Amino acid sequence: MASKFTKFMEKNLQEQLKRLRTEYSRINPGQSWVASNRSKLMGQLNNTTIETRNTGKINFHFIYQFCSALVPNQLYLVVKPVIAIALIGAIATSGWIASASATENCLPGEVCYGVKMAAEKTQAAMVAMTGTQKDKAKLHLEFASRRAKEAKKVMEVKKSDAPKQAQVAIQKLEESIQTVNNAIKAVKEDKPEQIMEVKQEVEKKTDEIKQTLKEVDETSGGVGVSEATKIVKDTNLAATEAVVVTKEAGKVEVSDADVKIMVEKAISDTLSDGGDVKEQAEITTEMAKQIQQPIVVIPAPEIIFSSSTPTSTIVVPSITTPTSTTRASVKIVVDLATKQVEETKKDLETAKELVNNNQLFEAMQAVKTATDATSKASQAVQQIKTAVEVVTEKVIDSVASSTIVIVVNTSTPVIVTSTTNTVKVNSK
Amino acid sequence: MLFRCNTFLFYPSIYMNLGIKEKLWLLQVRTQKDPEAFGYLYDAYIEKIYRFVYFKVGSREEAEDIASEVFLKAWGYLIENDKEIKSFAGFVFRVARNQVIDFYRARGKRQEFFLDPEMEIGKEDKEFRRVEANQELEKLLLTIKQLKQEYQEVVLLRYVEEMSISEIAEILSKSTLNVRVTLHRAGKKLRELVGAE
Repeated sequence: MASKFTKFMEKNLQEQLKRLRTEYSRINPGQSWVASNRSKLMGQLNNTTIETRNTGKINFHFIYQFCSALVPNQLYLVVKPVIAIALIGAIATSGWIASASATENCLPGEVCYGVKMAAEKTQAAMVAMTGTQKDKAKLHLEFASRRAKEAKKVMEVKKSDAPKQAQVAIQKLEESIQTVNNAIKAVKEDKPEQIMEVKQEVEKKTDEIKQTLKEVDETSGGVGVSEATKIVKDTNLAATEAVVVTKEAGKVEVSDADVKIMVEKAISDTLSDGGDVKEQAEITTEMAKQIQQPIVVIPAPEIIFSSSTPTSTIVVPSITTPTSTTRASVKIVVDLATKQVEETKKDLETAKELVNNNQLFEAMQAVKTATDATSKASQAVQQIKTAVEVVTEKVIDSVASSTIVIVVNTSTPVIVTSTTNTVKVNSK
Repeated sequence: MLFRCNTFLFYPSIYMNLGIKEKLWLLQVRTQKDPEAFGYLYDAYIEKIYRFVYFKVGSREEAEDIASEVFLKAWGYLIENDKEIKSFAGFVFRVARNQVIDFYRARGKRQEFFLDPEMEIGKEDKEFRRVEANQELEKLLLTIKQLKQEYQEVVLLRYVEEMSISEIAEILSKSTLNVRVTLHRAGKKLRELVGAE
């Protein structure tokens, strides 16, 4: 009886609620207002679109979204590759230059990213067939710059797999830069007269990429960018060196002053990189001070100890005074890195003197040595910083209730007790 | 798949139901910044949005201002942003919700609703008092107002607007299960209040 009554009441109530919309004028807008507001709105919209209106350009990204929105979820999983293939087909038949721009906002992890990559591959293949090495270098520099921006965007969007996808972009960036490197070598050998042009492009783009990578790094998502940054810097140095060599061989027309300025820029870049490393080292030390948890840091031997210190001396196995151990471990790594940076300063001073004596090739060698050392120090600091970040997170999450052993990028097996948390940090 | 899309692009009005039309209009707005297509979306949603806003602010003038602002904001977002939007309904209601929140924030007070029927009725709609049925509806509306915000929203969207659970979930950014549970609780509470009167 009671349930019958409830059902009757519920039905009655639902009927009344529906009537609120159909019969009750107060909660409905006046028709005259609806119409006048519409024409007012249309006027405003037309004003906003006069300048920005896109005339007839097909945007495949939106078409892709539209198609996917039409299909139910389960079916969508099945037709997803079909849509992607259809779009690739559409792009192949409608001209790759226009289409590449239609997918320019696609990020790694999205299906249309495959379309973007396919378009770029077509572009690269065409340049390889018809273009010069100079064109190839330019194109791949552009690709590398896009990858850096993608990595940054992915990290900004903050999806759960963002670091993984950013890493995909960085990996591709490294590949593109490698191609640029090869192209520089080829230009140096076969078309030395074009080397200046290539160098200028490399200089411009690598500066931009370095800046973007730095921004990716600052998002603190644990994406390793130090290896990529190193490759980018090395490429710029290789281009400078190529100019110096071709100039000395008399194969390119460029004034002494211009080449000098180039080498001096390489010196000042390396100096400022050293400054950055020091800054990062200070931040890391500061961060480590905040952690109260006992931590043992085992850094990668091949990175930090390559200069003079013998391997495996920094493994700190016993923890008697937890916080001081943490700080001590971080401090050792950071101090070594800072010391290394200081040493590079001497190399750079030598390089400056060599430039003054017009020994540009020798100066470049000194710069390269200094850059290598700075990169190594930077990588070491980066790794310890990532480690400290991971630990800070763990401590905040209260996941770690006991000792944390951090294994930084090493293949050496680490034996830990059952009460110990091991955090493996594998930052590039 | 693309072929299917193209078919729709060429024959818009003959074969399509409203859902697909909406998606097409949305696509036209986003790719071609087409005000006319947006006009159709306006026609399809203005009343719903107005009711939704009116329900929350309780005054005709303010509901009108906010509703027109909602469409202007929606347009701006659609033409400037690349982010995927699965359904226009979900999107435009979210904009409306945010506009209402902004409205109360700007006024510097918590949400409040007219609970004084005499004032509102006397001012705006004298005619309806003559009809007994309207009195009944007025009473129901005031009863709904006694529910908490979360319940009011689902009751309005489900029973007044007759939207599907999945549409409501999209609008409120909740799971369908969550919407069902909220709806069940809201219905129970509403029945209690109606029964008590």
